[in-house]
Amino acid sequence: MRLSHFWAMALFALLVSVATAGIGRRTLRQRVRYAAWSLAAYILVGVAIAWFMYPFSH
Amino acid sequence: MDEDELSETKAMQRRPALAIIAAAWIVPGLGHFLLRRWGRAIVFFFAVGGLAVTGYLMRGEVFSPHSDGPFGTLGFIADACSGVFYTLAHFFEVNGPDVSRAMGDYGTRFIAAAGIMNLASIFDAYEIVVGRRG
Repeated sequence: MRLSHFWAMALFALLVSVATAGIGRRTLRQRVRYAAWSLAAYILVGVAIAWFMYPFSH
Repeated sequence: MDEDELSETKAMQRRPALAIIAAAWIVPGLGHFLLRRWGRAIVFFFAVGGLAVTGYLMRGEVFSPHSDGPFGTLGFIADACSGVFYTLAHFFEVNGPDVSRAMGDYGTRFIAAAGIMNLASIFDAYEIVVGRRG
C-alpha cells in the first residue's frame, strides 16, 4: 500500500478520532463533534510540527 | 443479604463481565455488540480493523511473543490486544514487514494503535457491564 505521509497521518487521525469519540462521549452529536475536532487538531498540529521541522531537513 | 449470598452475587456478576471482556478482546466491538451497543460495536470493529489492516498493508512490523527486549514485549502486548486481527497479520502481510521505508515504520504504529484502541474498548465494555457507563 502506497500512501503519502500526509494521507497516512490523515487516515490514522480519522480512525483514532472516531474510536476515541466512541469511548469518550455519550451522545451521537457529542461524538461527531468530538471526532471532528480531534481530527482537525491532529491534522493541524501534525502540519504545524512538519513545518517546524522543515528547516532541519536541509 | 448475608456474606455468602453477597459474594455469590458478585461472582455471578463477574462471570458475564469476564465473558464480555474476552469477547471484546477476541473480536473488536463484539463486547459492545453483546451489550446491545450497536453503534459503538460497529465503530470499534471498523476503527480497530482499519488501523490493523492498514498497518499490515503498509508492511509494518508485527511483534511475536518471543520478541527481543522490553520494547519487543510491549510491542507484542499492544499488537496482541487487537485480537483476531493479530492472527490475520500473515494473511495481509504476505511479503513480511519492511521497516526500512517510512511507510513500514508508520505501519508498525498503526498496528500498535489498533491494539491500544481495542484495549480502550475492552475497558469501555467492562464499565458498561459493571454499570459505570450507559
